[in-house]
Amino acid sequence: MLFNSLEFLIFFPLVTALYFLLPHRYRWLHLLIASCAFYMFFIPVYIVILLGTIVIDYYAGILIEDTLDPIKRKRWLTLSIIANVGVLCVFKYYNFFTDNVNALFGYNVGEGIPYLDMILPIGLSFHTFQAMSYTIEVHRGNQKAERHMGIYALYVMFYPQLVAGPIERPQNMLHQFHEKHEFDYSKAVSGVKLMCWGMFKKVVIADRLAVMVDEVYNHPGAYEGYPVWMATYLFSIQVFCDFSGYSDIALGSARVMGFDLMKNFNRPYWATSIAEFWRKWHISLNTWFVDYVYTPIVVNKRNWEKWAVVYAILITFSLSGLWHGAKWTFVIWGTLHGIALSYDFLSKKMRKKWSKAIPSTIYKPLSLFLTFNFVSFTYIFFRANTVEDAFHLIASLGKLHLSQLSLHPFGMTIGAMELIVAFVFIIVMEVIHSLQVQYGENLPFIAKAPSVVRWSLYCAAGITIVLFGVMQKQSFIYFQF
Amino acid sequence: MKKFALKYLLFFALIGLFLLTTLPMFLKGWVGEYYIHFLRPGKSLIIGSSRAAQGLVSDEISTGYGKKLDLENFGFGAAVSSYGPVYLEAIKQKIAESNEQELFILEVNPWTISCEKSNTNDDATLFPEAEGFIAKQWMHNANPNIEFVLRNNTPLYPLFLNRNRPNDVFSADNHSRLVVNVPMDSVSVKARLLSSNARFEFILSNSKFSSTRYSYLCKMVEYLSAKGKVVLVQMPIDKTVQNIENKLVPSFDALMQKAAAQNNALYLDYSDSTALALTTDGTHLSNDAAKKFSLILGKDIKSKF
Repeated sequence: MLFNSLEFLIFFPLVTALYFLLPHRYRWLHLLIASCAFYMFFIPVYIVILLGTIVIDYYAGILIEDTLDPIKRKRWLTLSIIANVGVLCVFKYYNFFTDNVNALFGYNVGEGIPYLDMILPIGLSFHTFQAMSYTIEVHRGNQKAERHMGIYALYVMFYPQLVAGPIERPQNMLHQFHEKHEFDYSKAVSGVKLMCWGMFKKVVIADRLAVMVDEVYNHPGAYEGYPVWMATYLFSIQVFCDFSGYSDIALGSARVMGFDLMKNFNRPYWATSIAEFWRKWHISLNTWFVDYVYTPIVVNKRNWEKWAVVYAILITFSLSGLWHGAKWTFVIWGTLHGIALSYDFLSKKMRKKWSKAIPSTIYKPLSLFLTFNFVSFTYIFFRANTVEDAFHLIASLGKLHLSQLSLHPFGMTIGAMELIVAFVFIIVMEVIHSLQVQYGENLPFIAKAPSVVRWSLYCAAGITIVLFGVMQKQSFIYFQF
Repeated sequence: MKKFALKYLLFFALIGLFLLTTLPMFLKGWVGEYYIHFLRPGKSLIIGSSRAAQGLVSDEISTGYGKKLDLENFGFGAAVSSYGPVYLEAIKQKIAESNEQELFILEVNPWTISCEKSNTNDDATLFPEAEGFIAKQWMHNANPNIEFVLRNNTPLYPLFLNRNRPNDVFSADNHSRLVVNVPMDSVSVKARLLSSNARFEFILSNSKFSSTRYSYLCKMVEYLSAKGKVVLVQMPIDKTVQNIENKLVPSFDALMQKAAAQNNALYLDYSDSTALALTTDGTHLSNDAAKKFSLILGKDIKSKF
C-alpha cells in the first residue's frame, strides 16, 4: 500500500482508532495483522519470505542469548546473517551476478546461467537490515533477545517503516511495542502535521519534478546542455522530497500511535562537506553501515592507521551503493562518495587551515556550493538507467548554450507553469525548514495562534496539497531498494 | 481521542467541502475531451472506437434519418472502448436513467474484437481497458461530474486558471463527438498514413481474434436490441489499412452479419466505400468527410431498417 493512496487514507485512521480502542494485550496482534495487510497490498505471496526470515532470526536471537559458548553464539549469528543476506542475494543480486558472469564469458541472450524471472520484494533491503541489526545487537550483548515472537515479528514488520525505513535498532523499537501507549493529543496532532508535511513534499514537489526528470533521464539522447543540468539539479530535490517525504509520513503515522522512530534527514543539502552530508542524509542507513561495516573494518585493520579508515570508507560506500540497487550505476555512485569521503578525511588538516585563512562568509557558502554540486553530479549515476546513459548525460552537460535557456526545457508537453509552481513550492519548503530550525518542528507560534488563524493555515495547506499535488500514485523511489 | 477524531474529520470535511463548492464553478471550460461523455444519460448512443468518436456526427445522422435524434457519441478509442465487459457495463450505466431509447449505432472493426497474442486464454481481465478510466468511473451521468474531474485531472490547479482547452487539436462538439483538427494537406496526410500503416502492421503481429470480445459484442447487441434499434457499422477506411485488417479477422463480415441477424439488428459495411474514405491518417474520417458520411449513414439507416 502506498502512503499517497486513497487506500492509506482509509487504512490509517481505521488502524489507529482500533489500536487505541483495543486493550493493550491485543494491540501487538492488531498492529501485526495491519502490517501484514499493508505489505500484502504489493505482492501477497512475498510475505512468506518475510515470515521465514522472521522465524529464523527470532530463534537465532534466543539461541545466541541462551548459549555461553562463543563459537556457538557466532554460529547462530552467522546462520541469521546468511539467511538474511541469502534472501537479498537471491532476490536482489542474482540477476545482476548472472548478467555480469554471462557478459564476462561472452554468452548471448538465452545462453549461459539462466535468469530468474521475479520481481524484487518491496523494501527487502530495509527489513533485512533491520532484522540483521537485531541478531548482531543480541550477539554483542547490547540487546536482550525478544521472547515474544509476535512482538519480534512486529519489530521487523511495523507498517510505517516496513518498506522504506527508517532502519531501526532493536534498542529503540522493541521496548516500545511492550509499553502501553495512551492516546496523547499533542503527539497525535504533531504526527498528523508531519504526515501532511511529508505528503506535501511527495505529491506537490517530488512527483511534479519526477515528470521533468524522467523526461530527460529516460530519453538521454534527446537532450543536451541546459535541460540536463536542470534535470540533474531537480533530481537532487526530487529524491530528497520523495524519500524525506516518505520518512515524514512514516514518523508521523507512528507518532500518532505513540511510537518514536528515528529521524532520517536533517537538511542534508545545507551540508558543507561530504562527511556532514552523510550525517544528515538517510541517517538510519548510514549509522547502520558505520556500526556494522565501517567500525569493524577500522578495528580489524587498525595497524594500517589512517589507511584503515580510507579502506573502510571505500568498502562501506561501495557496499552502500550496491545496497541501493543491483546495478553498476549505484556501485559507481557509492564509490564516488567513498572517494570524496576519503579525500574529506585525508584533507581535514589542510581544509582546517584554509577555513582559517579564508573569511567564513566566503568559505562556508563555497563549501556548501561544492558539496551540493558534487552530490548532484553523482546523482547522475544514481538516476541514469545505465552506465552508458550516465556517461552520455555527463558529456552532454558540456554542450551548454545560452540559446537553450527557456521556460520549456523539457519540451512543450511540460508547461512553463509547472516549472514555476515547482520552484515556488521548493522555496516554500526551504522557508518552512528554516523556520523549523529556528523555532522547532511544530512551529509553536502557529500552535499559539487563534484557532481561526490556525485552522485557516491548516486548510490552506490541505487545499494546496489537493490542488497542486500530482495525484498519480507514483511509488516512492526508495521502495525499489 | 474523541476531540482529535472530530478535528481530523473536520479537516478532511472542510477540504472536501472546498472542492465540492469551488470545482463546479470552474467546470465550464476544458477538463478533458471525454468529460462531456459523462454528463447526461443517453437516449440513443454512438458506440465504438476512435473511428466512431471522430467520424460520426449526431446532427448529420439525425438530418439523414429525418428525425431529431438525441444521439450521444460514447465512442473513445480501441484501447478503452473495444467490445468487452468494461465497455458493456459502462453503456448499461450510461443508458440506465433513460427510458426512451431509440437508436444505437455500433461502429465495428477487426481491432475492436481482437486481443494481444500474449493473452493466451483470451482472458477479459487482461484486456487493457480493465485498468482504463472507464473501468474506474462510477458516475456516468452527472453534471457537473466531480468524480471524472478528480480522477482525470491532476494537478487540479489548472482548472482554476485556464478554462479553455489547452490546444486546438482536440475538442468535443455538443454531442460528445471528438473533433480533431490536423493539417489535411496531402503531404501531412500521407505521412500520417505511412505512420499508422507501420503501427498497424506492428500491432497485427501481436494481435489475434478474440472470441471473448466477439461474445461481448453479441451480448451488447442483444442487450441494446431489447431497448431500441441497433445498427452495426463498418466505416470507410483507406484500402491499405483494410488489407491489414482483413489479415487480422478474415471472416469479419460473416461474424458481423451473424451478430446482427441473431438480434434483428442491421449491419452496414462501408469499408469498401473508398470514395467516402477521406481520412486524416487512413482510419479516421476528416471533419468534412465525417459530416458527409454521417448524412449518408442516417439516410441508409432510415431506408434499410
